[in-house]
Amino acid sequence: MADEILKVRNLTTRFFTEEGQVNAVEGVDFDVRDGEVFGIVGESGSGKSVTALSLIDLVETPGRITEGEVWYRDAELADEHRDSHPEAVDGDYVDVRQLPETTRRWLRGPAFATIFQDPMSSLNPTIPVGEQIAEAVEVQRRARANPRRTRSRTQGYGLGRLLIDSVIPSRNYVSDESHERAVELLDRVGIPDPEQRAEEYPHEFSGGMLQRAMVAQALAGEPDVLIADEPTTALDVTIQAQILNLLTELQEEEDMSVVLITHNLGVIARMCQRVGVMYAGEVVERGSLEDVFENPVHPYTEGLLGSIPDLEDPAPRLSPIEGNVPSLLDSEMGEKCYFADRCPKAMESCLHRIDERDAPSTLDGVDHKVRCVLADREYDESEALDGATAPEVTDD
Amino acid sequence: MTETAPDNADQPGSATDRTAADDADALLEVRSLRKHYQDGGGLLDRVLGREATSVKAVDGIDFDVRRGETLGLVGESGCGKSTTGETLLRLREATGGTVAFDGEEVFDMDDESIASFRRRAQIVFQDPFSSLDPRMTVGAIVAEGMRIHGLPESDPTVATAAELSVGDGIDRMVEVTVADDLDRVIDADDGVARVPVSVRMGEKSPEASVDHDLLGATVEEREADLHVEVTVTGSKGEIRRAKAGRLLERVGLSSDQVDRYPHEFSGGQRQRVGIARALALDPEFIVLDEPVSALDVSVQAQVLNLLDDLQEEFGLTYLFIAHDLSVVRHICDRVAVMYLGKIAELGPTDQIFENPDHPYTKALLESVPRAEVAEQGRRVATLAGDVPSPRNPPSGCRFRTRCPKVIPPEDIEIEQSTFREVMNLRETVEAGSLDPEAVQEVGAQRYREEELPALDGENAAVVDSALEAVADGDHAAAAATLRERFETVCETTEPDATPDASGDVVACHLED
Amino acid sequence: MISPRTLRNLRKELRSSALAKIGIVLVLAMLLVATLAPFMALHNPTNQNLEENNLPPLGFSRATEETTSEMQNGSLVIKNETVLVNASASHPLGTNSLGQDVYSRAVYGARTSMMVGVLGTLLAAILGVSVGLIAGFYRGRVDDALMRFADISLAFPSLVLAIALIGLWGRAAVDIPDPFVMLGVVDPVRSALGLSTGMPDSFVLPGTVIVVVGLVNWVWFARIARGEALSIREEEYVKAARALGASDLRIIGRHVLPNATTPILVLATIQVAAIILLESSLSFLGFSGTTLSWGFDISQGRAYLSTSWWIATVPGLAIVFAVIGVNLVGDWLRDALDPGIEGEGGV
Repeated sequence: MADEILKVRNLTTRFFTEEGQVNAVEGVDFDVRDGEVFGIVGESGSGKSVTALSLIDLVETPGRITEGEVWYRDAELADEHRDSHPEAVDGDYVDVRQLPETTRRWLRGPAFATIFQDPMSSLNPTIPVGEQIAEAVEVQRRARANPRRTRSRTQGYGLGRLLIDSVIPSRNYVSDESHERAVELLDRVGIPDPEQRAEEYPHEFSGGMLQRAMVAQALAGEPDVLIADEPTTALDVTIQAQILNLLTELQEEEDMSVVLITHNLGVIARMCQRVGVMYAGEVVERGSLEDVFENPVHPYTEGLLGSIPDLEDPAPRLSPIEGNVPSLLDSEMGEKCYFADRCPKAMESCLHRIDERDAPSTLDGVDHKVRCVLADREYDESEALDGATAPEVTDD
Repeated sequence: MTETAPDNADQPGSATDRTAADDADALLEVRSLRKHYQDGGGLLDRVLGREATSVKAVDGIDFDVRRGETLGLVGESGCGKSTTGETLLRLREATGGTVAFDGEEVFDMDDESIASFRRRAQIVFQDPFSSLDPRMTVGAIVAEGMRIHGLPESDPTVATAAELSVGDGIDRMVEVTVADDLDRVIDADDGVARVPVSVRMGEKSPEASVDHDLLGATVEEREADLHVEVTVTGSKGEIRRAKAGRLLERVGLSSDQVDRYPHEFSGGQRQRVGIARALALDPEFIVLDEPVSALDVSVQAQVLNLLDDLQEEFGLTYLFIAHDLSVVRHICDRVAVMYLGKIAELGPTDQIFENPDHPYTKALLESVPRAEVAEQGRRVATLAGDVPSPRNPPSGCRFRTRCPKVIPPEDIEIEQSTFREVMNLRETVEAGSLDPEAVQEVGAQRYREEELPALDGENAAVVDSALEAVADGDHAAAAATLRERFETVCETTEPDATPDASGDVVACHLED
Repeated sequence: MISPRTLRNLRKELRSSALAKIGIVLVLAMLLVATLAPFMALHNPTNQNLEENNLPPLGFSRATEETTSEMQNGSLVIKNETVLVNASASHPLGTNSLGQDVYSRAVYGARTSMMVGVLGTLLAAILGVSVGLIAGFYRGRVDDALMRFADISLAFPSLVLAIALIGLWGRAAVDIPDPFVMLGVVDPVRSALGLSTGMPDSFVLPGTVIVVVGLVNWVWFARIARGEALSIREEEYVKAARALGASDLRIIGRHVLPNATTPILVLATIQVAAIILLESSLSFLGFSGTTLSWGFDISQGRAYLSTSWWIATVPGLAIVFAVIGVNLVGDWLRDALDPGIEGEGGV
């Protein structure tokens, strides 16, 4: 299929901590299509944020991407690397992970841009907001002017220039052109009085405005894929609604693809066409919003949906998933399905690792994949695991 | 896991079937409660000539919490909901107003009354990490309240009794006396604490035993009879520890975890410990300050179910502070919606969620993303802008700066949405933040046509003349011109937020 | 109060850090020597023997001009002869100008240093932590008053302040009987080991010095404790305790203090080192109440630096090792305890 901008295969990220090896992301597969919003939903510790960082190659030590491919569609880039890195090229796609470091870095901006949960800590408190966005524009502008060579793209933007500028203050660090573009971007994301606000510092912005500014910064490189990691979690609902509207609007107008990572199922429902549900580092179920929300196969997806109180119809009792999120320590994870301990439908066949399987799908051309034996069989009580329904609170 | 219980509204003690006559049954009555924080005013501020400003976190709110109900307090961050919870428990000094708990003024209590108030009113906090002392075992955390109040103490109204079973070989009369303070160890049932005691023949003499670690029984031969005495042998500390263990079990942990430290528990488990700590003093009223906001959804549901069960079992009254509307809908009988230190709307949950009257409540509900397929692609009519600063809240109705239904003066004819735009223009003019050059550049009329295209007639003329004043740099005159024509009741008069006969509030002029 | 997790961190840090091991060995050795001084010393440190003064340490010799005069043929002949004084096996580190055993004096000097270091730090900590906790917990005027006072005390150079206080109060020193001598175990053990008997039956606790170093150093504790109290009072568990009806004193003692112990403990170890140095300076200047002190010995040996370097060098090295040892232990504690008792782990 040619309409996928991003194909992630077997992405595996581990953290090598003093306590042992932590399997934060374990063999994750998914595709992101042109102009769609793909949602990744999961609870804390499910590996969703590490997945985002792995996509843009920003995993920090002691973490490391140990395996996997991230295929990104860019015909030009593919042609350019076909001879030098044949293993990294497949048709129009390049495997970002196998490209040289400089090219990979160059891709951040025009290919992938990111917005994070906490806009306050993502911006430098000592520099006016407009200037920070202008810097992002400047970097992209120089990169585009000389796309393949890192040296020249940082020329006039390196340490030496910084030293000179700190002695002789001047605005030339960022060109006027970039500054104008920054104001344009601020206007684009719905910040009133953009010219005036550009001169203000982050602490003079409210949380919602800061998140808009972050979006503006992400737009500086006109990215193909916007990765939004919990973009509205720190915000109030009315502000969240503003930001979600903005993202939808931008996504449609700029024809971007968005990878939206959140724990909020409501946000997923409003924004996404396709969804992946993560649990203990794995994508346990993925498919169209309809399939995942209305015909969930994995008991975890079902449990997650049953856990949230319904705004319209207050059920007197919620059906939570019993137990707690498991440890991701390699030594404690064992061989069985990671959800088996909490699963109300665990059976003997759950004692082995389970590959992704096809599940019934309601939409043509949209896969529905599940990491669960229930994908192609019914729950059979006679095979139930002893004590499969874990005690209400598990000890650690 | 089966859903057998009927709809909330049918449960006894639920709010919907109440009438105004029940008003007397308020456990907590809050009247014009205010809490202002002084900002600045320190030595440095005085030296620098900075004036102290006050942040009006809570600015005059009235509500009752009725016995046995769960009152929800919802609002966005900074609306003053958590401050309200802490102030009415006297954990913060109130700036003004009164709070009566079971008829007694909380802010006037002396040391003795406050001690009994502390036993009857408790709080559970949001952050499961910061709310437990990392240096104490969870047993000590749960038992701390009992230790402070010298509990458990014996309740003089509780009788004690023994259930005697006599073994083979005992052929004499057996008389049993039970210590009066047995109820410190054994929970009373219908006003009587009962303990099973057995007497049987030992190797030489009769022996008595109770099946309880903290109790002991001794046998004495008095003439022909046997006299058995049951006493509490455990120390206060041991009794407390045992009770802490029982409480941990009640909240879904295990009693052998009393010696563990908080860091050995997950977030949801820690929150259960916090609940056990609040329960340890047998309170009647608990302030739940965002008790599930920090938890993952699956764990959140466990804790919500637990809170439901505990309320039923112990007859608790809850004040449930939250920002998550679906959680509030699930657990609350009545809901108060706060905005910028004031109550915007208060009423039975179903009414608030199905027929909200206040434009803010409507906007809030509209904003919540539902976890269902129908939600896909729903475009929400969002509120414009941000919440104003509580340092300098808007006059009149606090919501008027963002309200989509702000009321135009009666004598002018204007579309609702156009009036909203005019009001936005007025605000920038009054704040002096409209750039005169921007108006000069295109001329007042052009500027108005661009910014407020729907404006016509007399309204347009007034705006034009105001914009001309702005172009001349005279913001004050412009503001006055606009105010004269467009002044709305929403800015001149504060809407009435006192509860009506049934305790409901809709603080909006549209309701007048 | 020390959780198993803390112990685990301490052990882990100790395993991975060679410096921490060196520090622990040095401090333990110092404490051992100070405690068991009557068994470790070779001689009574105060015994003078002018016959054997300025003896060099083993492996060294000291050249000295010996003047002999004799009547020769009716005239007095004065001969200047260079003779070598050799080390004596009974004084392995030599003797000082009064013929006292340098090694034995260093052993007893450890007692004074450790005592002043530990007790002085304890006093400073009790004073400073109390003031700091109260200031941080109550804030407002109480805080302003206490901390301004602390700032003023800090503005005084500590040595000058110490000398002024000693001048004011005199050099009060307390004679404490040596417990081992009192028990009568010293002489039998020493004679069994073939060492000389008759060790001093008491030692001097320089009382004024301890009070002075406590008063000079309390400010550091006050500052740390205040900062901790300021942040801990905002924790929800403090609010929860208040909601349970806990008194201020209970909250401070039960919640604030235990959660502030880590930085206070780390500061205390570093302060022990600082106070050992301060004590040495004071006794070097002659303000101590005892002569069995490293600082005093250095001042005594200063005059002989050119000829008998060991008199000042041995106590000097003792100070260096003690201070390094204590500081290394402080670093170890800081590294092991600092990352927060609440490492949340996970990803």
